[in-house]
Amino acid sequence: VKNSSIKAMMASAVLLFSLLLASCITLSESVNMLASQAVSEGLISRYHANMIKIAAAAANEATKTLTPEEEYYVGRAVAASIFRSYPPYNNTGLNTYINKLGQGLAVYSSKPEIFSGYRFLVLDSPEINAFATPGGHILITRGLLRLTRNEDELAAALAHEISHVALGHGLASVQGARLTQIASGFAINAGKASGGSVAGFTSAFGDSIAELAQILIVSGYSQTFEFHADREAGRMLLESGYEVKALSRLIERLPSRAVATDSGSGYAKTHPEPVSRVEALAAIIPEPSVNASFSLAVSTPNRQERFEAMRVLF
Amino acid sequence: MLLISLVTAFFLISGAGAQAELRSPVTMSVQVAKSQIRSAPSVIAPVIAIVAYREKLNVLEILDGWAKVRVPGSDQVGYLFLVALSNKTIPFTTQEAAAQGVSETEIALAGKGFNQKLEESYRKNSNVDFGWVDFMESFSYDAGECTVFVAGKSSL
Repeated sequence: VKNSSIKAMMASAVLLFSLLLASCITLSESVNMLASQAVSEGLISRYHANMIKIAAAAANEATKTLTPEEEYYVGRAVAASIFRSYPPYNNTGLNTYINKLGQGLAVYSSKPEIFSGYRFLVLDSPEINAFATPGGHILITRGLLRLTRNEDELAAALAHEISHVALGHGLASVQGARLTQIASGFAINAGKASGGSVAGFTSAFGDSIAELAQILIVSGYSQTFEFHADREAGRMLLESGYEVKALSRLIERLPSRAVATDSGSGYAKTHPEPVSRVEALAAIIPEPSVNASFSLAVSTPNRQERFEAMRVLF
Repeated sequence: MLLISLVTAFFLISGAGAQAELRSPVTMSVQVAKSQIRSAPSVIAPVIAIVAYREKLNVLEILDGWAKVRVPGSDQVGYLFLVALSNKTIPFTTQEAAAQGVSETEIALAGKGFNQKLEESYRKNSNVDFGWVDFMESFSYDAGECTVFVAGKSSL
């Protein structure tokens, strides 16, 4: 390619991306039009026009959120990453109980159906902690289970984690644009007949997964996200017939940040001070969503009976 | 008219609790791995059909978080969660797209970046074990059964 052609190509690219950044015009249409014009006027080759179109497609991809399928695969990788630090508690009875309870509660969430459903597993750790991945994998430690005194409080803990998934907090906490760029780049390369070059994108994907796992385990979500999850959990408890105040009571027994150490009390490290969460909840009187299209009479004794049966396994 | 219908559907999705009979059916795609169509807008209503990812459905009405749809291949109508549907077409996987000769740009725009192929590549490169993830995903129960359980109406 001659120097003049390169300059022209660069000028076209700058023009295109200036347009993209400055306006909300339909991306693919405008790029195709300008690139075709540049080719017809001999400013750039068809090859370079195609490259610009692909780059624009990637830029467009970076502006949108991941699909539910993509969220699912991100979630699987994040869950696998958490299992490297926290071993699972392989007890079928307890995990069945947690799943039936959690999957039933998820029906009352703002996103009752996700790509592959909500799934729950108990972690064999005395640390008070819980994690939720963007794909709906919810992990809760035996330490947090032991803190609960009845099924209402257990439901409160699960509803809080379900709300992080339903409200999309996981992916909103990482550099979403970077994730979508990786997704786009991988898709383009994996789609090539030759198999493409996917190693770089796989490595970048691993970096993003590590970043998200780090947020969940070490730094936690923003305080705003935690308060939103509490509020949403309160609404879910109300609609499912659990006591809304169970969430406040559980939070009051959580350790404060002052006692958090590097080796324990993970929940205290990654969540706002319990007192501030209780105060925020006190100001909220949840109302049932107009989406609540059914209601079932609740048997509180049955709930407590099965909770007591399971409690010995916590 | 289609555009108006899609815009209407979009606002109905955004606005919880909205209820509207659409002037003409709107085609939407299933955006979850599989979803159950029930005889009434309730998770405790009987399941009359199961639809899979990318399947297109004619949406007749939207009410309180549910979509009233025509059951594919029959004259029946049923209900499924509106969040299980997308107004975007989800036509192919990356592998299918490559086999069909679909352009790279279209693959990227279809949002097919993170998939099983990427997970396999990630597994090889990172030595991360997905065994426990597969194990926890085996705990799958019907939404209606779980709702009855939450109400304390059934035991383990």
